[in-house]
Parts: sequence; C-alpha cells; structure tokens
Amino acid sequence: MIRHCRITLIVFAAMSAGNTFACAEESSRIRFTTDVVPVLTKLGCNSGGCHGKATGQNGFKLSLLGFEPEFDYRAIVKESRGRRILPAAPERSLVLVKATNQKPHGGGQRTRVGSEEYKILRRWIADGVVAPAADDPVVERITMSPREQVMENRTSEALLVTAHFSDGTSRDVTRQAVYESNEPEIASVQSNGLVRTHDRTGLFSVMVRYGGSIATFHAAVPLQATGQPQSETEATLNYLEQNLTSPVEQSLIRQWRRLGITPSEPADDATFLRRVSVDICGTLPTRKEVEDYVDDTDTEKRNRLIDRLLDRPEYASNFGLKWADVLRNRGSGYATGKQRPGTALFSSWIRDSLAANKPYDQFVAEIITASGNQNENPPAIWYRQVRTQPDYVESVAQAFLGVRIQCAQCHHHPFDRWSQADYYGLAAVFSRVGRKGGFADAEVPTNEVIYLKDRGEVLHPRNGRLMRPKALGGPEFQLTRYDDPRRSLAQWMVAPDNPFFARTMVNRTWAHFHGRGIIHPIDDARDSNPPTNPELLDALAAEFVTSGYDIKHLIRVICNSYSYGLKATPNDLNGDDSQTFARFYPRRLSAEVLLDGISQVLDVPTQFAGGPGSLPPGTRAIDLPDENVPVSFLDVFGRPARTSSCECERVDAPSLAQALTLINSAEIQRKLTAETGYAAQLAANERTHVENSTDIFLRLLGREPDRMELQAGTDFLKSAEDRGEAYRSLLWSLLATNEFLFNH
Amino acid sequence: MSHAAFIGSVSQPRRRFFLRAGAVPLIWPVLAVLLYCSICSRASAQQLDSVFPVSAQAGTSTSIVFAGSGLENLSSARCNSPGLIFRKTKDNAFLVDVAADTLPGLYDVQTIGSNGVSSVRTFCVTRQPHIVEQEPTEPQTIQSVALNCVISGRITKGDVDSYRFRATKGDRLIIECWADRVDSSLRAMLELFDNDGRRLAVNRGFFGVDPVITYAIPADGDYIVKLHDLVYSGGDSHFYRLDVGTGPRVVFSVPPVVERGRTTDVTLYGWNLHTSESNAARETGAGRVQTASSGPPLKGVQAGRPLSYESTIVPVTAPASPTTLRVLRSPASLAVAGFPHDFGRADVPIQISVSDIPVVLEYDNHSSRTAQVIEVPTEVAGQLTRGNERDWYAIDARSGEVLYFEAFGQRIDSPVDLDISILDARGEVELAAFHDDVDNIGGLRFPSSHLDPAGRWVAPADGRYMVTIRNLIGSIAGDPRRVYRLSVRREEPDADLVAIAGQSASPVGVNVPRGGRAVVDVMAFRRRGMNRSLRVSARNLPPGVTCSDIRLGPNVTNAPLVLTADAGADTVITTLDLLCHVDAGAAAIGRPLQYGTMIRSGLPTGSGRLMDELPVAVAGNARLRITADGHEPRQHQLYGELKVRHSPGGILDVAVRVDRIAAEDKVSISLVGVGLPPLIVNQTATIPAGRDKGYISFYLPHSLPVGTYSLALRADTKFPISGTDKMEDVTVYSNTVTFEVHPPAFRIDLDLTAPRKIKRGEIVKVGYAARRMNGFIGKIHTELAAPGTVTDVGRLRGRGVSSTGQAESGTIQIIANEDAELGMHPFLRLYGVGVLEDEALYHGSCFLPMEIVE
Repeated sequence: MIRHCRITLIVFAAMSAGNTFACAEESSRIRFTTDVVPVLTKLGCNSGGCHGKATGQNGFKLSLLGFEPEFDYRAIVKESRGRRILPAAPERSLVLVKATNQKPHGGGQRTRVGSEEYKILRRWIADGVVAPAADDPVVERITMSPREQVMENRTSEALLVTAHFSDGTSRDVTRQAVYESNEPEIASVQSNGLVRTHDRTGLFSVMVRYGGSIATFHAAVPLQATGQPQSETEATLNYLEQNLTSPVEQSLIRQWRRLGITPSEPADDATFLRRVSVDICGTLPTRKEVEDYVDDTDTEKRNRLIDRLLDRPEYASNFGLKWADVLRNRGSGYATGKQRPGTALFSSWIRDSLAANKPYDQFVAEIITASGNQNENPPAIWYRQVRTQPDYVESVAQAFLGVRIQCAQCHHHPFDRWSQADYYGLAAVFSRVGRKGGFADAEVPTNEVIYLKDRGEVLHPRNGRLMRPKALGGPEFQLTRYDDPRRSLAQWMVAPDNPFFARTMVNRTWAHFHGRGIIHPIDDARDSNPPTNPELLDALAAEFVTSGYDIKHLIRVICNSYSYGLKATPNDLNGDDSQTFARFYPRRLSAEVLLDGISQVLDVPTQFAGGPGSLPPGTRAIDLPDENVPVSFLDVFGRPARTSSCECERVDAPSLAQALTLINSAEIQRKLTAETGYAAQLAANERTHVENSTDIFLRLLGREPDRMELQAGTDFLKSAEDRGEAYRSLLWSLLATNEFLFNH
Repeated sequence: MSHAAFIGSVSQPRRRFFLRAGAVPLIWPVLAVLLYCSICSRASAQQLDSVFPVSAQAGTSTSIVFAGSGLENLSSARCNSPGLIFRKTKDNAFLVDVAADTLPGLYDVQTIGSNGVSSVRTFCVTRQPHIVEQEPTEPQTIQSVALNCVISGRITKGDVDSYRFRATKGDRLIIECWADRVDSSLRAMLELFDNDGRRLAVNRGFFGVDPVITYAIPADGDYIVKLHDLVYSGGDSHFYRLDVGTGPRVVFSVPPVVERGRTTDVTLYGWNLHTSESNAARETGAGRVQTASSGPPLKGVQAGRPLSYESTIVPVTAPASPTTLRVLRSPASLAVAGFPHDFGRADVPIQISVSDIPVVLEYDNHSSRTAQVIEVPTEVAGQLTRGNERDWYAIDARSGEVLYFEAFGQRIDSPVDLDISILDARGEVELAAFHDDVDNIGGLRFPSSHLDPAGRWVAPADGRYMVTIRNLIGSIAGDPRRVYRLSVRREEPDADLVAIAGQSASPVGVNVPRGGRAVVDVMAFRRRGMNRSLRVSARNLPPGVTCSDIRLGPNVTNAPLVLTADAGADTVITTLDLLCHVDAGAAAIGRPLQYGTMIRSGLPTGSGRLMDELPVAVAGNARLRITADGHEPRQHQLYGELKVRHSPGGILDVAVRVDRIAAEDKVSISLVGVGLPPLIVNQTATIPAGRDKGYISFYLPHSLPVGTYSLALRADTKFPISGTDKMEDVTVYSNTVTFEVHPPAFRIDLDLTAPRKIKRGEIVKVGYAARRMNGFIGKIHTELAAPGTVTDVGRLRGRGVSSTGQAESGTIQIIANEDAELGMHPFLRLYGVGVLEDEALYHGSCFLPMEIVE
C-alpha cells in the first residue's frame, strides 16, 4: 500500500513537473546551453561514438557530451558556412533532416518529426539560433527522486530528475536526461527514466546525466527466498550480528540482511590455510604446515597464522610484486643490463618498506616527493617510467586515489565530475619536476637526478590559462616560489579526511583478498561506479587511518573478517551474489605464484636468467627484480608489462596458451623429470602408494585425499608398469586441476 | 688576481718513489734492475683491475694478488705511503708489509713490471684485525669471524657471501661495506640476520652507493651478515672491504670546513663516538676533547633499528703542509682543499675542508626575517636537515660591487643539490639564481661535473640583499648529513689544475718509452672569472726525460703535456712534479698541480678520482717518433724566407718529421690534432708510406682570443708483429706545439661564389676579401699556397695579387696543369702577407676547398 502511494506521488509529481516544463516551453525562449545541448546529448549526437569523438564524424564535430556549449554552437551555426541551420525554414535545417533521417544519416534516425526533442531544436532555430550568453543560467546540479530504492525482481521504478539552475529556478528534465545502468543484467533503464529489474538479484545503480551534471540512483534487488525459510536466514544473520561486532562485520551483515542473502558456511582449516598462505605470502603451505594447523586446537590459531604469515619475507615479496606492477617498475624494452640495477633497487625498496611495515602514507609520500639520484634514492626510480604529464597525473590518480582521470586530459570526464581544470591542476603539481644527469638508454634515461626545478608551468589546453597546482577535487595549494608542490600534494593525500587515499588502499587490499573490490574496478571510483557496500568501505578506511596507515593491520582486519573465511561454494541463497562477499570468490593463482607453487611442490626451483648477473639458485618468481626476466610461463599466465598503473594489466583470464603450457611446458616437464625432484623421490622411496598419494594431496592441494580420490590414485599407480612414470603422470594430472590452479 | 689565493699552498717538490716507497732514496740504477724493461721493445698498457685482498692491517704482512691486463713480469709495486712495502712471492702474488704506524685510510697502489707502471687501484690500511674471505667448501657453510674485524672478499656471479659473528646484548654494531669507494665494480647490498634467519636490517647505499648497517644488538647470540651484488653480478673486479665492529665511526662534521691557520672546535657526528672518548683524548693530546650531545639525538636514516648519531666536539687545525689524502676524493672536489682527520681509534678518517677566508656557523636563519647577516668575504657552514629547509643570509653591498657566490655540497660528500638565490632586502624579488656547475671538462675519463652552484653577481645599488640557499633534492625525509659551505667573496680569479694519464679509453699509467713520448692530460678548472693564459711546467725530471712547458690559452681548459725520453734514458720511476704559472705582474706565480686518475670507463660506471701523485715510468723502447714544428719558416717567391707569426684568421701549419726507429716505412701514418683549443677545428692528414715528412694545418678562427696555446699530434700507424704476418696498431704522440696568437693585421675571406672545382687545364678566378684590421694600412699580397709551398702548389698555380690603399677585395687566377693530381688538395689556401715598409710582417689565410676534376 505504501509502495503504491509512493508511485502515485511520483507520477503526480512527474505530471506536475511536465506541466511546468510545458508552460516554460511556451513562455520562455529556448536556451542553447540548457535546452539544446541536453537534446543533443539525449539523442547521442555528441557521444564518443558519433560527433563527440575527437575527430568528429563526417566533418561535424561536437564537444563530447556537450561540455563545451560555445564550441558546439560554433560547430552547428557557424561552420560549413552555416549550412546546418536554416532559420527561414527551420524544418529544412540539416540538423533536423539528418536527425530524423529524412536525408541519409550515418547515425540513422535519432528522433522523429514532431517529437519533443524535435520541437525544441526546431523552435531554437526558428527563434534565430540564439547563442549562449554569459548570463544564461547554467545547470548547477541535478537531483533525483528516489535516490535509492529496494526493488523486487521484475518490477519497475520511475525516476524523476530535476535540474537546478544558477538563476534559482528548477525544472523536471526526466525526459531530457540520459540514463545508464551499471548492472544491465540486474536492471535496465529506459530513456524516460523508467527502471526495470529483471530476474537476477543484487545491487545496481543508474547514472543520470543532464547538462554536464551527474546523479546516481542506487538500488538493491534482494533475493527472493525460494527454498529456504526466511526465518533461517534471519536466524543466521541474527546470530552473526550478535557475535561479530566490529564495524566491518556489521556492515557486511547489514548488506546481507538488506539483500536477503545468507553467507556460505565457513571454510575448513585446510582450505583457509591454503587460501591465506597464497594471498599473504604467494606461497603454498607445506604438508607440515597443513598438518600442524589442522591439528592446532587453539581458538586463536587463525590470528596467529595471519601474524606468522605477515612476518615472513614472502609477504613482502608477494605484495612487493603487486606494488611493482602498480608503480610500473619496468625493465622491458631497454638495455636490461643498464636498467636492472634500477629496477632491482626499486623492487627491493618496495619489499623492504613492506617488510618493515612502513606506514602507507609515508610509503606513498616518499614516492611522490622522491628526489635525488636514482642510483642512490630508490623511490626516485618511480620517475623513470613516470616521466610525462599524462604519466604524472594518471599514475597518481589511478594508483593512489583510485580515479581514472585520463578522459579529462582532452575533455570533461563523461562519467565523472573531473574537468580539464582538474586534470591540468594536478599536472601543475609536477610541472617543476626536473631531471638532470643520467645517461640515455635505448628509450628511457636512467640514473637521473630528480630535483625541484626553478620554474615550470602548465597551461589549460583550451583557454591557455596558467594552471596553479591543486589537489584532485581539492583546493589550489598556497605555495611560495621555493616550495615543492609535490609536498603539498602528499600532505593533502595523506590527510585523514582525504576522500580518496585511504579508501583506495583499503579497496585495493580488500580486492586482493576477496577477488573483487568494494568499488570495482578498484581504480575506477566515481559517482557512477559506487561502492557496493559504502559502509564497509568507510569502516575499513576509518580503521586504516586510525591505525596510522598500518598495512599489516589492515590485512589482519581483512583476513580475520567473516567474509574472508567463508567457503567458496555457494548456497541456495547466495548463488547469484558477486558483490557482497557472501562467499569466497575463487580465482586463478597469479603467474608468479603458480610457477613458484609448481616449483615448490615438485621440489625443483626455476632457473631464472637474471642478467647482467646470475640470479642465485632458489630465486622465486615473486622475487624477480622486474618483468623483463624472460620466462614464457609467466607471460602466458598473465604477467603484466607494467605499462600503466592499472592492476587490470595482470590478466587472469583463461587462454588456450595456458592449457597448452600445462600440457607441453618444457619447464614443467623438467621439474617432473628432475633427478632430485619430488617425482623422482616418490619413485625411489619405499612407501606404499596410499602413503605417497596422501603425501601428494597434502603437498599439492593442502588436504588429504578423500576415499574415492585415494582409491582412484592408488588404482592408477598400481596399474602402471613404470613407477616413476606413474607418479609423474599423477602429479601432472593434479597440477592441471582447478583445485591446484585456483585459490579457493 | 690575488697572489695568495692562487698560490694556495706553498709549492713543494713532489716526492719520488721507488719500489720501496719512501724507504729508499732515489737511486736510478736500482730501477733498471727492478723494472727489467730493457728487454722490452714495445710497452703495452698495464691495467690494474684489482688488488686482492683490498685491505691489510697496519703492522702486519699480508699476501696479495694483482689482477688486470698487461701485468707481465711484475717486479714490484708502489704506493703513495712509505709504510707499505711490497715483496714479490710468485708471478702476480706479493707480500705487503704495512708499517705499524701507517695511518688508516685509502692508499694508491700500482704495479711495476716490464710494461712499466700500471694504472692505479685503492688499497686500504686498517687498525682492525684483517680477515680474508674463505670460499666455502659446502654451499651452506658460513665463515665465522670475530667482531671488530675487517674482511676482504670478492663476489662472483650469483654469489652471496655470509659471515657469522657473535655479539653481546648492547653492542652497538656497525657493518660497513666499501666497494665503490675502493674502486670496485661491486654494487653491494648488505643484510643482517639473527641466528634464526630473521632479517634484522638491510641497506643498499649510505655512503653514496656503499651500504652501512648500524644496529643495537638486542640479545647475546650469533648474527649473520650477508653481502651480494645488487644484480648478482660479479668477478675479479667485484671485491670489497667489510668492516664489522663496534668501534667509532665518524660520518660528518659541523662545520665541514675550518679556516686555514686557526684552530676550530668541530662537532663530529657519527656512531660509537663516546665509547672512544678516552682514546680520542689520548690520541689528540689536546686534553680538551668534549663529549656533548648537541640537543636530542639525531634520528638516523636507516630502516629497522639503526643507531642514533652521537656528537663530539674536537679542536681541529688544518695541517700546514699537504698530507696524504687517505680518503676518496671525486674529480669534482678538485677545488676543495682539505685534509683527512682521524678521530681517536676510528678506522676511517673523514675529510675536513680548509678555507682561506673566515668561516662562520649558521644559526637559526630559516626565514628572511631571521636572516643571518654575514660580512664579505665569509664562508658559512650550515646544515639543511629538513627536506624543504632554506637558510637565509643578509649581505650589505655597494652599487657595482662584484661578488662571487659558491656553495659546496656534493663536492664535500653531502647528499644535497644546492641552489643559491639572491633577493632584494625584503626577500621577495629574486635578482639572481645560481645552479649547477655542469661543465664536465674531464669527460668520461675524469667526470668533473657536479651539482654545486656558483656564480658572479653585481650589486645593482647600495643596500642590503638576501641570499637563500636550499636543497633541491630534499624529499620529505630529514637527514643531518646535509651540510654545506657557502662562500661569499670578491671575484678573485683562481684555477685548479689537474693532470691525469692521457689519451686512453681505459685506465693506464704514464709510461714513456725510451726514444719516445707519453701524454699527460692537463685540465684547468677555472673559477671566479679566471680567463687568462696558464703555463704548466715540469720540474725535477730524471736525466734523459724532458718536457716542454705548455700553455693553456685564455679560457682554455684542456691541453696535452708531453714527456719525451731520450733513447738512452735510464729506466726509472718517478712522480710527476708539475707547476702552474700565471702572469701576475712582474713575477710568475707557481702552484703545484693536483693529480687524478681514471678508474672505470664507459657508462654508467665511468669514473675517476683524485690521487696524491702521478707516477711516471721510463719503460720500453719506442719504435716510432714524430716531431712537430709549428714555426717552420715559409719560402715566399717575393719576400724570401718568412718567419711565422700566428694570428686569428691565419693557418697554423705543423710540420711533422717521422723517425722510424724500428725501420718500417711501408705503411702510411695518419695524423690528427690532440688537445686543441676549443675554437680550433681538428683536421686529419696522412704521411704516405715511404715519406718521413708531412704537414697538418689548422685554421685559427677570427674569434680565437689572443694568447699562447699548445697542442700535440697523434700519429696512428701499423707495425708488423715480429714473427707473424700480422700487423698491430701503433699510436704515438708528438711533442707539444706551442704557438702564440697575435692580434691580426688583416683577414682574408673567400668569396662565397668562388668555384669549388677546377678541371685539369682550366683557369678559374677566385674572388676574396682582404679586410685590414687594427690600424694596418699596408699592402696585402695574396697568393695560392699550401703547407711548405707558395704559388706553385701541386701543379696548381696561382697568380698572386697585391692590393694597396683601401682596396679590400681581389681575384686570384688559378691554373690547373693537365697533369694536376685529381681530388682535393690538402690544406690549400689563399695566403696573404701584410707588408710594412717592404717587409712582410703579417700573415693571414683562409682554406680554399678546391677539387681538381677531369
């Protein structure tokens, strides 16, 4: 009943607003900025795939999504000798006959004669194509009603969008606004703002754009309990709520309750041990570790395990590898012998910082403000790959602020609030980064001295205005001529109330352990890509800041979270879930961890060609100085080239090459057939097949075989004539299983 | 120029050494036996790559092995300390006896063999017990050492060296690796582990790229230090010295500079200084050593649990006479006069600079409002501990006053990149800014550029001005090692000169073959407006060895100095003793040169350093000798024999005589200039096979300042390798050619439309301009000429033209004989003589690029 009333009210409000608009249409003149441009946006004329792209379309170029009305006015009215407009006979204007497809139009029919959009355009032409004036009202913001909603499957919700103008007026622009759903499988949205949910459950949001402003509608489609009694879910969640009191756990439980989701069962000890060992240390647990942990009856054993893992050098190696990707510690494409000392120095510095648990704010500030000789000051090596204006802006924004701001280099960001002024204001922070000394390698100089130049300026590309250094979305920095703007940026970034910094790190870390960020992708935070659980993100960020940006503390919090300890197996009440962490999301081991894992279980280390020296025997893939150590296995399994700060460069998608590598890899063959390797040890020992099979399962999969597996394994081993070949085959088979290849 | 400033230190004869350096007086015949070089007919370069072990304890004998190339028939070795005596045991193996009173520090060692003296490598003398790395027989074996020792080791490819030692709770441990600072190619990485394998500390660079770990030992037990190359590279040249101890280590001092002739209280900062308090008092004998913690302990910059800096105040007086360096000094620190200072029982001296103007300490002066007023001249010693710190000073200057600002940071091993700005009295308007002095006159062989700023400033009006100094590479971390010197003084021209073994792409020693020559590169680091000609002379040369004075003309920074040995010269080793002279009124002031060496070649590791002395050996016999003459008279058909008088807009003809000592004349000889003043374009010439004379000519551009210059020639040819049918490359150098450039009387410029080709049998007309200069109004007679001949040039003939009065142009007819040699005629020119009262006094020429074609 309540819901029914609400819809009625909304419809009434929309009708009222429509009337207001109609009246306004009758009484007021059409303004180019606030009336015509939104129509062009609505019709898709100024989209990136049409006339809004950088080169325009067939000689007609508009600003992307209408962020530059003056430019658009000139393009429509002035260019091509004004042939696109015919005030004497408005309906014969090219913009109208093309849009209605009365004349051949590459973009097809965008509207029809007599439509609302048609009328606006026609009237603007008939009124004399009035140019945008300085005192024209502009859209200050748009609001939406409702802003968030819980919806059921296969229902609809009408959105009402209101634009608020600089002259104090406001009006309904629901029909003129543009809508986009971020989860079309859960809900789609029509051009009139009507949201329709489908069969899937989960969270979704709808981005609404009008006149350069953006608003977002957030909604949840809870699971409709089918087989399981609702009370059982409630009971489970109540129990959890009473026993898990931290803000992190509470926010998770609230989300599950909101969506009617029941989390999966907690994972068993062996599974958790393997999972957390891989995630923290990039290393499989040994048989002894498995047995010791499973046999341990201490209720605090998970905490102690996590602490132990965080103290191991492999923790620093594993996360050092991750940060080396993000920080683009790249050796590829250059004279390796000359670049490697730098990459080795930088990767070592990253690992040391992590091992010493250097506070994250200090870690980042040391990189951002790095100066001095790259041969002596490792964080300055970050500036070896990051050396151009786009590199500075985009690397900082993406790596540390979780923002993809690339679009704003050329135009206003289409899905976010970032303008070119934001982009070049941040670029100005780095305008005085000077370089001297060093020597030129094939492409990139090395051993440079990074220093603060006397001068350096950045101009706005459109208006030529001198840009003052400013934070992203923050204030201009107050600087004297001798101040390094990078220090101000670092101070702004690491301030406890910074809206991006801590949230980006906790989101990145959460994604590392859960396989998906609370904001996903992790480095694409924007209004139109909201966190799936804002409370959770805020709780983690607050915990992180309060701890003094203690990375190990953050990892402890995440690894001890209830969601991280869940089984990967879905139940009936979370099978659709891919957003709320109601179960563990399995993912393939990363390339380096997989190779090291194979080396470990087969007891044959990989021999890396280090150059210019020789990497010592036993060097692990997660310890390699850069991505340019030639190992085809790593490339096949998604080792990134480190050409950007995006973690998305590391590919975990399956490929045919991966399958072929598992079948034909000479490296795996070498490890299987090594004289001193595990396979040879199995062949040579005098233990029974049952004992050996148990050992194999514990070693490879971190668990004992079940009865059927044991039977199948021993049967196979008994059937083989060659004991060595039998064990090699069994090992090979298990290496190719998803259970081995995945962290689950 | 101030005489006192230029003289600096009193010139003194350089020491000479024999094989037992300092212990035996100069006895030339002894060397003849020791060098065993008379059997050698040709000397190849000796390159000493390593001395292993690289350290020895004072008062002990240590076995060492020399490695390198060309180290044939080694007979001995030499060092710049008399306390080190080398005794050959076998091949390249020696025993070095280190006298007990030898001070700790770094010394220079060179081998002596049939090829003469080698390039130089560092050798360390320590007070601590010395241990040599034992390669483990089992991979997991770790060598045990006692705490407080010095280890010499070497890293092979992929190698990780480990040492186990026992320490006691409370020990204040310092582990310091010396690699780059002792001429090693190793880029060392240090790690400290406890006995359970837990890593306690790591470092990859503290003294430049050499690492240090300091650590307060938390519990009794065994600890392990591991060392490897950053990229797991290795080899003979990857040696190291590793200090593992709890003794005192001074890191830096405040002030880093003391005034010459005055005793100054200097605060030393470092680790474990207090534990050596009594030792320090006893060592210095001053009885007023104070131990003070100047404020709260300074925070170290190491990860993990490093030691905090301690400080101690000691009185320091600069020694009256030059002392052995004993510390590493980079080429850029040439302008930094200094001396090593030993603190108590510390095993490592530190370098303290000396200034000849008053030195003051900075005080709280971090804003323009609290600027510290300083007089001129003054040298301020300060610190920029915080990354964004700025120090402010105020000076009072008169309108037109010329002041010279110079800061020292990188050159005194401080981790800073300094920048100086001069502002108005309110500190708001920047009037001048001085940045890096990037002039690298030593090139890849002796890289001399640095990050320290210097500059000249003229006060625009009477009044007060602000001077601010800051560090451009401060980052966000503080570091108390960031000390600096800021010198504000009048513009008193000065120059520091250095000599290094010359003209080789790899490190070499200076070896003069009997009957031949060797080149030493002389570099002048001019400062504070010094632009005058400099003269360099050698003294105390052994019998049979000569060296002509050379001149570095106005603003010239590089020139070759050539040593020549008679064919009968004794085999000998001495040290070069060079003086620089600059005209200063009636008297010429002389000051000893400093000496340097190349350490490694190429990028990115190319490096050089200063050293105490430059040994020179007479070794081997020359097979070829060339003699250059830049003053050969010219025969003119109208004016007879003409004396050469060089001036801008003229051509320097260098006549080259070839003496083939090992008679071999079937191969041509290529000539090229060496050490040319920067404005003179180099040329090449060839002396064909079978000839013993040739020419090479250089155009002296109009912009060449009047002055005296020196250059030399390099001759490249091939000689057969005896017993084979193969040839080997041979390079020799000429004597230096010194020539004075006078003001020109006229200049000749070729017409832009002049023909560039002439056919056999053809006549062409070549227009030119002859502009009189400097008041000359006499006749100019112009002819076609080439080196050694005028008018009739290789079957090209010119018809001379005279111009008198105000005539400033002319045309020469050139006739090519039918049998004229095809191609470009080398160094063809229009040659004008200026005639005054029928006497041809002046000369002016320009090259005529004319090709003879069919």
